[in-house]
Amino acid sequence: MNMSKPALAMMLTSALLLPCGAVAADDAESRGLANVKQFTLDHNRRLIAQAELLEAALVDYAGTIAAHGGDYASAWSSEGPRLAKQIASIRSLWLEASNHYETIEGIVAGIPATAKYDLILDAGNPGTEGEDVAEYDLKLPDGTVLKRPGNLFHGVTEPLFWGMSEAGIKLSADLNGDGKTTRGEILFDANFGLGAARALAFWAKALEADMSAWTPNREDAFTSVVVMTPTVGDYFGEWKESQFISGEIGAFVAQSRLADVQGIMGGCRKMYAEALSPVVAAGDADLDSRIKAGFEELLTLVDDTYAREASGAEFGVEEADALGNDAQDIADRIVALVLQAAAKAGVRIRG
Amino acid sequence: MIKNACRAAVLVFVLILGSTAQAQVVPWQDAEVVRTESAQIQRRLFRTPDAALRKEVEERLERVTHLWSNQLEAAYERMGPNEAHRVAEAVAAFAEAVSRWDSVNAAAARAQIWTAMLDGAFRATLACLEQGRMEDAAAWLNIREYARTSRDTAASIAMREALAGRIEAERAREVIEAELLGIYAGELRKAIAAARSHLATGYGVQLSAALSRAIGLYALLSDNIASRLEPDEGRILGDAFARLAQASPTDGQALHSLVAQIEATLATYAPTSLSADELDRRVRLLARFIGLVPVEYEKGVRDGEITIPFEYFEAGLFRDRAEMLFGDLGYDLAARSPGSFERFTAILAQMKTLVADKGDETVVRSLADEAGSLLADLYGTKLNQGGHEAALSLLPDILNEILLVSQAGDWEEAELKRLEAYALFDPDIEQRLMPRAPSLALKMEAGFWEGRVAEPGLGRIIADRSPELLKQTIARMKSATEEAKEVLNTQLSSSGAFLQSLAILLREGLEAVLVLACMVGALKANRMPAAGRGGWRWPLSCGVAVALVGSLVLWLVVGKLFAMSTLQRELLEGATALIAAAVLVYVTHWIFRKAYVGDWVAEIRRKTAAATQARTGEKVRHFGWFTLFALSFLVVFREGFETVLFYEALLFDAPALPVLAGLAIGGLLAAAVAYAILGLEAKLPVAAFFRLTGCLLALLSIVLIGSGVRGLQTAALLSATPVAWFPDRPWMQLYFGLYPVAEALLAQAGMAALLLLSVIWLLLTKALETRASNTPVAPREPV
Repeated sequence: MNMSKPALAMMLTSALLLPCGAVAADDAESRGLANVKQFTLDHNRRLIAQAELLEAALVDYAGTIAAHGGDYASAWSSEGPRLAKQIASIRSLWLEASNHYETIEGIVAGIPATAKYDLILDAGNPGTEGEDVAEYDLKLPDGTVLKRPGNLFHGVTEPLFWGMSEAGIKLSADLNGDGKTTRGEILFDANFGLGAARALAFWAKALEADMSAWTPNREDAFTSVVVMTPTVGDYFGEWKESQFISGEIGAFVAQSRLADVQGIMGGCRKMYAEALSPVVAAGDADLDSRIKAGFEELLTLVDDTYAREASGAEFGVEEADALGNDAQDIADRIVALVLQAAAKAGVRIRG
Repeated sequence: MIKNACRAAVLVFVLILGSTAQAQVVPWQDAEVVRTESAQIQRRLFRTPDAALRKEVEERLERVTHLWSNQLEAAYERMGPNEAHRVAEAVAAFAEAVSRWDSVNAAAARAQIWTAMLDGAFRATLACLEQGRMEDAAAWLNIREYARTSRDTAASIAMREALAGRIEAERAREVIEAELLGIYAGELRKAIAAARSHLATGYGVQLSAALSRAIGLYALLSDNIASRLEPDEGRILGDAFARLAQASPTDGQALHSLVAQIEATLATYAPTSLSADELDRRVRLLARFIGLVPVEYEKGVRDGEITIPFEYFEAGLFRDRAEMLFGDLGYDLAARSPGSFERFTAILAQMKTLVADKGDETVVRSLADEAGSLLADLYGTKLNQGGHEAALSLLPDILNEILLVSQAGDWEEAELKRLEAYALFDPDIEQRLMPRAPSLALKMEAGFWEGRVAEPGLGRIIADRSPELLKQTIARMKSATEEAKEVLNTQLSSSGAFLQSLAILLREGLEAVLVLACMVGALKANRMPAAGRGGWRWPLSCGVAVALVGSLVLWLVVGKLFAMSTLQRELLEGATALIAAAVLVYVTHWIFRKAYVGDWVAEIRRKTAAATQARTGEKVRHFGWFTLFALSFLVVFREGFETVLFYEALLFDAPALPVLAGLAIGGLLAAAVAYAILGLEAKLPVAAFFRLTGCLLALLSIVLIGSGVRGLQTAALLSATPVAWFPDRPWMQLYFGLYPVAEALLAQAGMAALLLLSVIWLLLTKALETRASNTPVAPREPV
């Protein structure tokens, strides 16, 4: 009889603790989801602020050109240093804006309600492509409407501002004043640039509105991680193909594609660690620890590679390929583990 | 008390420690570390070594060898000495290659380490399950690869269920073995494909890793391969892998031919087989899905633009489902005809691109036809037909999916799946079921929509998001599907076919016959001439003939020239019923007016006198040519198309003669009813006849408005609210259009009130006329 009391006490305590544990996991999940949303909104707001600064810089640039009746040669000969400074400022503001977006891209693109903004802002194809088209038209200040021109960051503004789009180049100009005019030293189409910058600010605000309206939920969080994590191989592929590896000038000239990979995978890890880990750990702590370890392994690979690149290391072609394959392999493994967790939690993955 | 509590706490602590210690028997976490550390080392071998890098790599290598020797080796030795030996050799080879900074051989050794560890863990998991050591089995199962594309999770779930004692260890073992074998077979193919790719690009390190991984996975699968392939093929594969293991990585030509040979032999290998029933089921479903792609696509896309988003979505969905089934069937298809297997793969890929690009509908159609022909050639036309058997087989799966997605909180997806399930039910099951078990067909149809108060339907439950109710309704719908399967699989006797054919004609045709007979009787009583320009025979005959021809033409062109979706057909039926009801109200009002207002004899005399001058202009104005034409057209066309569909469905299951006999007798009975009504016109006083036919038509207009509203509800254009107080009887719904749904009943009540008001107004008018006839004023025209 004496022994039965503590046993009873233990049973009661366990009975009380079990639901408490579940409630705690739910709380942690809710907090985590709210944190992820807040994090995304914070960066979204910084993106808007940066896009507005970019728009203002484009207004200045367009004003300088307009002051010369739209004659780029005349503007350059009269106000060369000013224009060079304006373009440097535009590029710097673009990088800031892009980095804010890349930080949240993994989350934005993974949530079904906001995925379209990723296509419009950063990842969509022009209308000439068959799939993943950025569904918007770009209206320029002179009234021209460009139908489905592609995503705003890497499809429109980056090639325009860095002179990779022949159609946008108005004048070759020695921007850095070293006496030579190399590729990328150009005055670009101010009308096009201003329209694109305005569109960036507009769509960044639209994203904020939808992100604010998004009700964080477990399904979207799982879907986000499962959909976005495996894209790492594609980004590595683009990195491999970019000028940093092959020496050819192409897309992604402003900065290494690894910066994007870092942002996107960081977003996926954040989503998992904050929003999903409490749920997974409550049901299967081992599985949770393996998924976390997987993200650590992936981010370590990305960080190491980016750090080496930043320090001037040269990558062989096979090494770059192997790094991409390794990253993809780890990502596939993470996703497979997350899918096991989703199945155990009874969550269906969309997409 | 405190002492006892402390004792209990100590006991629990010891138990926890004990369970932790038990879990440590299989150090799967260490296996993970070995895998990741060796990968880190491998990445560093691409770089030019300096002292710091060498030191870092040495430290990592030390960790790998330490973990193997001190943590993992003993566990592997206990469960599988052979695999333990292979891992040990590979670890030594890896260490040796790393010490020489030899990335090619290190890559091969690293792949050997991991595949041998996978092999040992696989065998250990199954052995532990056989011995009932669930905890150990679960721990060993952590050392594995996971499904990359199929997203299989059955093994994890089976292990969890076995741990919880909800399934037998033997069952868990079957599930786990099947899933892991499938995954490793997929990984083996992937490794071979990667080797071919690296061979082409000349990436030596990755080629070495891919080949070694393939060899390791082949070792894991070798027993299964030997049992699943023909002995000759198995021998050829074994020889090829043996030569691969000996081949020099620099001998590109030899490697290329070996890889090609292995790929070709593996194309027909599947680690597990489907049972004959499962195979048949999948072939049927595959045929059905592939056939549905162009049907949905043609509805959803026109000239590169999406016209109906849901249909476009369905086209993609059916293609994806076809691909999933093809994955299950691929091995069998490849075994029967490797050429067809390759062509089918290409067709699915091309379809995917076309659907994504919103490409040419005709190409999608021709690809689907080609795929259908391939299946028919390989499995026979019976399996390729699909039809209601495939639909009945698929319906429970989609119902399960509704449950699954709703449990995941995705109610929008659940709604899409409900419509998908209804799109399967309506053309393939309902059309066949309605002639044979109308009550079950109606019950099932209601189950897809709002259902009843006591048994709410899927449409309502999904709108209300009620998970518990959904579970019950899904179970009910699945049991109704089983019932439908039984009905449809039972051979129909001649007498059954006759009765069902008779019932169709009476049910669908009697309403039209009644309306037309009443109308003709009323016109005759009104002395309206049958022949001539102002006569009723010409517009009425035209209306009936155009409706009959129209029904047949619509039946012929649907599916040939254009596709009509389930919801569009419901809309057509609903809309024609409502228009017919509106015309009928006008006709009923006209008949009541004749019944209650005016002195018939006087009016007829007056009309006859005026006829020569006005050429029946009065009648034409009040009861015009177009009204007669429209009403006769609408009442026949409304039922005509559906009647043709029902007969088509019935002729699938039943012998033709009894069906035709039923049709003929039904036609005679309908004609007898018409004759009886027309006979009444001769026997009854004119006013009494008008009252009788007016009431009959008023009732029919109430029936029509009920059916019309119901049609719009099943076309998803109107909401539906079931009511408990109204009886739910199939015969009331089939013959009287009385559904226990608030909107339909409200419309019918409104219609009844309108007709009643019409009669009251006419009676008041008559009273006024009577009073007027008593005062000395000139007679006026009837209203």
